[in-house]
Amino acid sequence: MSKFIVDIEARTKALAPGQSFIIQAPAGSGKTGLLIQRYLRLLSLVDSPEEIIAVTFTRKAAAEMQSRILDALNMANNNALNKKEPDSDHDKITFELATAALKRDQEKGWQISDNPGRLRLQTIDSLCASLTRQMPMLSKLGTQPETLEDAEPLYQQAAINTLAELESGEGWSDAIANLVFHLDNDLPRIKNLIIDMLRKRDQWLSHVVLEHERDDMEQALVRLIEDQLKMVKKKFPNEFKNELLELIQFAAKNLNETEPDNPISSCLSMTSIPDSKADALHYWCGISELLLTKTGTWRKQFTVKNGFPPASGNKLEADERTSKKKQMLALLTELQKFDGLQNTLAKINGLPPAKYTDSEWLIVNALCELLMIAAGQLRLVFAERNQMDFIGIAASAVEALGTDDAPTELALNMDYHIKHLLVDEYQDISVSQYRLLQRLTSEWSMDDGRSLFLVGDPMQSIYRFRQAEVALFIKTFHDKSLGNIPLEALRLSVNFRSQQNLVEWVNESFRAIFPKQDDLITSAVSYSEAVAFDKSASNNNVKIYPQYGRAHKKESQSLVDIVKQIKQENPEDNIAILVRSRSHLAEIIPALRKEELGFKAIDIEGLSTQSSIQDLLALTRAFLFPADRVAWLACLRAPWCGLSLESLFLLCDKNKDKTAWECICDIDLVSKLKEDEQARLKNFKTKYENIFLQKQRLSIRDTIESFWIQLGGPATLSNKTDLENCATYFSLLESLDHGGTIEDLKELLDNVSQLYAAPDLKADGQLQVMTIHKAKGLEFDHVILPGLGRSPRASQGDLLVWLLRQREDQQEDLVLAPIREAGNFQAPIYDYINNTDKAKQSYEDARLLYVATTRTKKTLHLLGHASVKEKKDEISCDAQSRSLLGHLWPTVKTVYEQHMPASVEQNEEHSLIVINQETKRLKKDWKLPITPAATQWQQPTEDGSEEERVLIEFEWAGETTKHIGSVVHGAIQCIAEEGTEKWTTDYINSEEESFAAALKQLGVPENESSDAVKRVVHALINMINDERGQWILSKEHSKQQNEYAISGIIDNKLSNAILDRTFVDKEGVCWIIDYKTSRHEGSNLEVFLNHEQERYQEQLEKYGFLMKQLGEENIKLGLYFPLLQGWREWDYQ
Amino acid sequence: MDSSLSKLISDGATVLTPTQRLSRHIRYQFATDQIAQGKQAWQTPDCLPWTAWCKRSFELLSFRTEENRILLNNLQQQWLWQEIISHSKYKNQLLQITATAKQAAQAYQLSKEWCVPIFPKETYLSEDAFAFKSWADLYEKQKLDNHRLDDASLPDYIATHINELKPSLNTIVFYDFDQLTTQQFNFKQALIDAGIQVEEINVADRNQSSSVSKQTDKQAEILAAACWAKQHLEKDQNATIGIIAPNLSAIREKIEYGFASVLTPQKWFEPNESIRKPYSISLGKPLSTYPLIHTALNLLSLGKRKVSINTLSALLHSPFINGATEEEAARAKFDAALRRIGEQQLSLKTLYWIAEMRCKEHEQCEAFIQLLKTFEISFLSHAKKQTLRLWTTTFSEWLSGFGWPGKRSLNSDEHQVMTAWQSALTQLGSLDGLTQAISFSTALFQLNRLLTETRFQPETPETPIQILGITGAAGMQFDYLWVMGMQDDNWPALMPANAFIPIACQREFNIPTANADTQLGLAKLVTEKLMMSAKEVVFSYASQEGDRLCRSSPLIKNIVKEYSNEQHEDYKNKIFESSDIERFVDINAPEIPVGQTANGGSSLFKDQSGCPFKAFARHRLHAESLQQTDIGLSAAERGNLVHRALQYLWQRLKSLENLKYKTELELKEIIHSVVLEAIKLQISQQPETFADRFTELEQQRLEQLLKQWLLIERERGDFKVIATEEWKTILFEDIELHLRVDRVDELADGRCVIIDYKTGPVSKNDWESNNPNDPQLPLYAVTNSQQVAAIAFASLKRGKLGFVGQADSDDILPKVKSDADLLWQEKLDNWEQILIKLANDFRQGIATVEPTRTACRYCDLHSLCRIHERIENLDEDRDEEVLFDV
Ligand code: SF4
Repeated sequence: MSKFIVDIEARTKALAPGQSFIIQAPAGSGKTGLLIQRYLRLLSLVDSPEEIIAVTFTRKAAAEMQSRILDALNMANNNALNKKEPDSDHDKITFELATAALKRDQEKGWQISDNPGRLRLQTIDSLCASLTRQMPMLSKLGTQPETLEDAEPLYQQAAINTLAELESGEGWSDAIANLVFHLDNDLPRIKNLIIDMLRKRDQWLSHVVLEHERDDMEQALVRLIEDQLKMVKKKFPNEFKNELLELIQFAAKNLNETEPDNPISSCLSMTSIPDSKADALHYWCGISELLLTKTGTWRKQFTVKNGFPPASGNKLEADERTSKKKQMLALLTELQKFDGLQNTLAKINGLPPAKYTDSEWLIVNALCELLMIAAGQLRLVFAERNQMDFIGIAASAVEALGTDDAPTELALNMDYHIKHLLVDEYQDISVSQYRLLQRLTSEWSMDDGRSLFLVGDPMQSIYRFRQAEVALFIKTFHDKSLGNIPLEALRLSVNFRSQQNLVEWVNESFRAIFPKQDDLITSAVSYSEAVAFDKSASNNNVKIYPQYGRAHKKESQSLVDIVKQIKQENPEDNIAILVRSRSHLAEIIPALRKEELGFKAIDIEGLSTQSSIQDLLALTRAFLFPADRVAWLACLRAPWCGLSLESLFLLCDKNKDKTAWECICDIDLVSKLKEDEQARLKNFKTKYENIFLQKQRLSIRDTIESFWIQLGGPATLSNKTDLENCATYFSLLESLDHGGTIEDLKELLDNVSQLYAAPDLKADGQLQVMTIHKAKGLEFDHVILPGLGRSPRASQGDLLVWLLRQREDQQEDLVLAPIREAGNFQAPIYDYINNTDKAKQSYEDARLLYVATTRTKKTLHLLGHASVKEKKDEISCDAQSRSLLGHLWPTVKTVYEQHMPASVEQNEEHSLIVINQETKRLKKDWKLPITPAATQWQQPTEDGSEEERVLIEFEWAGETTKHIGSVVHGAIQCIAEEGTEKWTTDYINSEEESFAAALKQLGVPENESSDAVKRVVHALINMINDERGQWILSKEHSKQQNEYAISGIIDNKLSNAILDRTFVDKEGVCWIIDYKTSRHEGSNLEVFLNHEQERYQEQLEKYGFLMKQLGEENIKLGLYFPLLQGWREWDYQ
Repeated sequence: MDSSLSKLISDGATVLTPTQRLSRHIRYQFATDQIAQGKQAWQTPDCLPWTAWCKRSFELLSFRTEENRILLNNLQQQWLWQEIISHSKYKNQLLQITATAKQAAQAYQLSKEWCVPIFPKETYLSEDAFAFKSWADLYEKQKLDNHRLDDASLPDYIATHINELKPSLNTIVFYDFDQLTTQQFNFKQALIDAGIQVEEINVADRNQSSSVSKQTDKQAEILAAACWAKQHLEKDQNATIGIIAPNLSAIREKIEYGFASVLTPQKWFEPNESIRKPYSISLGKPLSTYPLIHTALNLLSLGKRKVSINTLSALLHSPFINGATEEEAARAKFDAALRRIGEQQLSLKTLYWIAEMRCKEHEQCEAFIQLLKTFEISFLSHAKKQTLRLWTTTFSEWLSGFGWPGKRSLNSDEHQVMTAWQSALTQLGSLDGLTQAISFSTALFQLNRLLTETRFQPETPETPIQILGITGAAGMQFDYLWVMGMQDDNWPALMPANAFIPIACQREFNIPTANADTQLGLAKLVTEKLMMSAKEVVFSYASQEGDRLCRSSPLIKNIVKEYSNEQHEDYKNKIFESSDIERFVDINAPEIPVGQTANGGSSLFKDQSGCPFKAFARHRLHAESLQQTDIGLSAAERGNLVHRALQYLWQRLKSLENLKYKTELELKEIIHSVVLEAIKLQISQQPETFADRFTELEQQRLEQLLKQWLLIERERGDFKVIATEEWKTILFEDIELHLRVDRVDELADGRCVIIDYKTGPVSKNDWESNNPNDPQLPLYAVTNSQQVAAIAFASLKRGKLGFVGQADSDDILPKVKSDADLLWQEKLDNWEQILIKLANDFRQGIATVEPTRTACRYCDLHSLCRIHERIENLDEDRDEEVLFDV
């Protein structure tokens, strides 16, 4: 078989352990397999598995890689036992490598199969997190904050805080004011713009400083202009210079009076063909204007508007005019022969001026200051919550790795030495992640056995919006190095996935669609050819279905037909419908449903527009905010209650000032309703009352779900998948619970709008619907791409845009431009940079198309509409330039032209929306099914040991008294054990410090300490000097116990008790004595003591009971009051 | 229970356990055994966790040694670390000092447990280790200087005083410690050296069967475990059942929910407290998340300068403060009124102002306002700084001022929460010895943090089913045990090492987290012991997590038996299946009887035209939802300002002639003063937004706008302004409309032009079709008594200034053309016909759901009209599409 794998050499080479590589691996080339082989190879060489780090971009990919490696190791293990070998070449190599790795594992005792966590297959984010975790100080974070998947609310807070600085009166308030005014004081919009910027701050943070040098940036503009002018100048043929000069001056003269603003007019002063200095830009603009149309194509004719008026006036003049025009046309014909001239000339028109206006410059600086504040505010928000986004963690990781001059000694700071680094999907690397790799490897030296392995496919780079920067791949590939590490650049070409025809079609199409040359500034990636592994030919596996005009209905119909046909012909195969944007499915999903073609839509249908969720939202809002009348009425009209419009009207009319609930409670009002409507209302009312009583005793989730269930919510759903969707909603409620309620309604709504409906439970996976982005990395037998004719929405524009250019001297030029002023349309620098950005986006769109078309193994179906125009009886069609069809146009144009309609009749569909006017509700006699039975169980003996707590007003004085009591108890226990011989009055006095310490320990504050100590000492001295006290403490008694812990069953409850002291005296009486440090001032001590006895009687009786159960007879109970030298005793009954 | 253990206990031995839960478990088991033997009372087993025993020993020692040491509590230790770190040179390098202090304290604890000196001489110190060492040195010095002790060094302290303690010691049993730390090991040795009898006992094997259960996902796994527990419990009513989840804290809520759904399905119908649950979860939630505490913190946050609208709203709906029932409706309405103001944050002053000036009677809640006022008076007159202990008293007073925790009687859980709250306050007070007088905000911050860090779970009586984390399960014995989460990425888990101790050092002193092998060994041991701890054990794992596929843990690979469960019969599903739905067409509301006039504002026709249902809901049901607030000005508020400024402007200028007559300077002055006036009015409505700087900017913006606008007015022929923002009442088809016309100009020929100011996008197509987008101007035109020559929007959007409208002839307004196809009068007649139709539909109560293409976009009635179940896809005609979706 191996003879078919034409790139086998590269594949073999890529396993060389000591060497570093960058590998371009197109769709279907099996790059993960290669990565795994290399991983296994390295594993057989290292000292511990942690020395190899393999990085991916998603947790799913990491998990997949891990399981493939473990499988390989497992297989090696099993096959070693069974002596079996795999049959394919690729598997054979994998098997050999795995066997070697396994051997190493056994030698070193790693036990990988038991401890797979040792394989460091991680996402780049978790790599960053592990770096910062290991270097808390170096990363300037301290303890690792929690990493957030979605930091949106924090960005929002930071943006709000930033704008609040407008009023702080700090130095930067002026900058913020300038910017706010620039954008028409529209704070909500500015807030959103700041949020957009914070989301990608890793890209601009290094470009933003206080007070940029204006001169530097204007110089950069000059260089940018001159580079372009040099190119034109070079392209412009010398032999036609004079002629052009003559003609343009003629035109300028003609225009100068009437249209002084026309760029051609400015060429009046031109004396020779301009040089390439920036101040000659206006001349060049004139030339470009003369030769090219607005859209940048060669002019076809010259008119008065271009300075060539029709022949009129006197003969001389008329002749000149005629001949000049002729001459001009002739010159144009000549110039057209020069390759690339048109292109370079066209670019001149968009060039920015060489200078900022003063107000523009003011805003550049203001904006930089504002963005710095915003970044600072964001860090404060992070700090407050001890959370951080991935960007923040990545930046901290880079920070921790030191500077280029002083790199951190990683070996000494980390648990393991990184020897090999493998990066999958390298085309998706972002600027900050690139920096991280650079730093991680900065200390490596040639031939120290360490290696870097980068693999990816720049043609599949489609994550620009997540800061992926494909230019970094291109740069690394061209430079053949990353930082200090020299890399060998390899290209794979074999496609194992698709049939030959498909591969050839893709080759042919994308050769034309992709740019000819790679380009760093516009992130252009040129096409790299693939060779099919599967040579089995089948014709006709790419099909095109043209539509004309916005014929979405027709298109979805033809899609349905395609699906049906495939299903019929290949019942076993799977099919994917891939779209660029969810909204492109608007017509398709209903069409599929109508035909009952079950499908799994993954993250396609928004949850917030499902009526079941709308109902739940209304229920939630009604519960939380009784004044939300819309929500209340919605609840009353929802199928679980089902009031008619008439009833709602009767309740609401003339009651504008009441809440809906107040209306419902108005008996007179309600009595006007029809009887069965009254019953419906009553049911709802009772349920609401029940649930409202429990407000904030249950979690908000339980509250709403109970309410919903009681109302019969599940019975109002139209299918089982909906039940799943509701569960998703309830989980969301759970996660947003703050103290048993939802405080921020907007947060709830925002979150709901990001949820997607669960895939249809009934559908198998045979027909799937998803976005192209989601499909990346997957493959299907058949792929259908509808909606190719649709264009995406134009992007909103950023607060700040920038352009980085590499200069000839390897320095970087930076140009910044602020967002266009509100209502003002002049922003040439901004426009220029934005256009570069548009070019980037256009290339990325082409790549998206590449990803989409390469998902298929067998057939590919392309559906899209072109617009049709009728001009001078000629019909033509064209695709919108920003649609995917626009990219594909060169390939499919002929097909579209063949099927073109005869005339431009109404191709536009004015789809009439059919609105179902039916309302549904549960039938009147519908009843909830019987409640499921509670679990049958026997309650074990209740543990009554946790004492009944009585809630008393919180106050500190009570605390101190309590603490005195415990110290006295502790000391008495000690006296009882050690004897009064040691514990004399003097000794007690000398122990003051101990008591003070013990009190302090318990929390008695300094200023109350001496009083408290006095009381302790007083109590103890009282006791030892009191006859009763001495008797209690006497060691003469038998069966003495202090702090005696006993348990038993009282009233069927398990009870615990701790007896302060118990003993049996000479008479055989068993005493149970409790110490009470109560105080009493004034007379009536006896009354007080009687009172106390009453208070503690029950407690002591309980002790008596337990002692009796333990076998004691003749029990007496006693309370001793050391502070009062008081005593009470009574017999236990 | 194990008989040797039982014997030791009866002989008075002290049993030490690794966890609190295990001690309780043993005491309970011992009790059960005693009861089984028919005993009514017995000596309580002296069984307690190791840490508690150390504390008890310390207390015993307090009168038995001369060293009057103070043992710092947790909070105090934490505080010390924080203080040290926040005074060190590293303070600005840390995201959050408190979190770092915690980790440092942990590192210190580890170093004590494994007897690592900080640090051995030859160790290489990374920046992290170096920083830690500098803190630890200070910490030790402070401890020494102040005779303090902490938990980390307590065992060492006790070991040195073993002889003083000896008289009160009996046999000591170490029960089921998986691995003794070096410190514990040394301690044990010290006990033996002192002649104290020491025993080690491990759990006995009682396993009869083990099996593995593969589940599709976490949710299914939880349900399966719950069903399994239920089955066993119902079969064997005396059974003890354990459920173990290694990552319990992450899935606590899900577990609680799943178990409740299966075991106490009656919970949907019965209030929480009346249900005795057969299960308990031994893991608390942060105290601050309990509603009572959350409310308390919200109340105290009223002391901040400004309060967010969400907090206020929560308090207005809180059942935990006075007047919650009495003022229920009023408070809800006041909430709505507050939101209408449009501020996101309010000072109390503004709030009072709103209550007084901007609320109708039915929206007023005097009791609530009174509570706030009383609080504010007390707050303002209160000392700015005081000790924490005093602050806790103050906080309590303030809270009771609000009537917190409310009139509703507390249930048992709430009762316990209150106790926990009080003990938190006591703890906070214990910082007094270490802190000075502090400000309100610092005190509140500390309270907040303590409540967030304190985990709390209301105690329940012993339950047959116990749900535990994996550490909490050590030594526990059950009849049946289910262990969840046995995926290979969870188990064995590799815990990261503490970064403050050099890794080499950690390895040298055998700290387990530094070594993958040790960790694996421990995990294997734990797995084995789990297997031994019950008759029947099920290990389960979820084969999918999110979009990731998961494999079972290698540590259970030897178990071959598979457990497959029955599907849980969900009650919700049962309800779903019982569904019995009727469908009916309900599109006609009662009509307005002939002769009765209806009322409405200018939006009535717009709504009726956009969607009949909308007009019905808005104008006859008065359906309104709560307004959303944002920072700055909303589009409507910006519009109001411009309206107002132009109103004042033309009230001053009166006519074009006058305008032209003014000098530039005079004009400037006029513009300045009318803008000032307009803003002044708006300030009084949104005092928070209009802070100084913003007011200035708005003044500037509006002046600029007005100046530019006048340039456009100057291009017109002569006119007099005869009405600005004039309220009119007109009767149209028996509908009484209260309308405000932005402006009416009278032209030289006596005809008039009606103008509507717009700050948003406008189009003259807004008046086309049978369902015009914005029929307001046509309505004015057909009802105006004076002859109308043109109607126009004055577009006042920056960069898009100009008139957009329709006129009788082209010369009336700049760039406003007459219709080429229709005569002006025909046009007016057309409009009148359309408006009459709309009016009649409204009167007839037609309430069909029939939106125009754009009507739903800015309509908040989706849930009421149920549009989403009426059509397949509302997004359909959106021209703008998102860039791409993922
Ligand atoms: S959401 Fe649409 S259909 Fe519903 S009331 Fe509003 S405009 Fe009418």
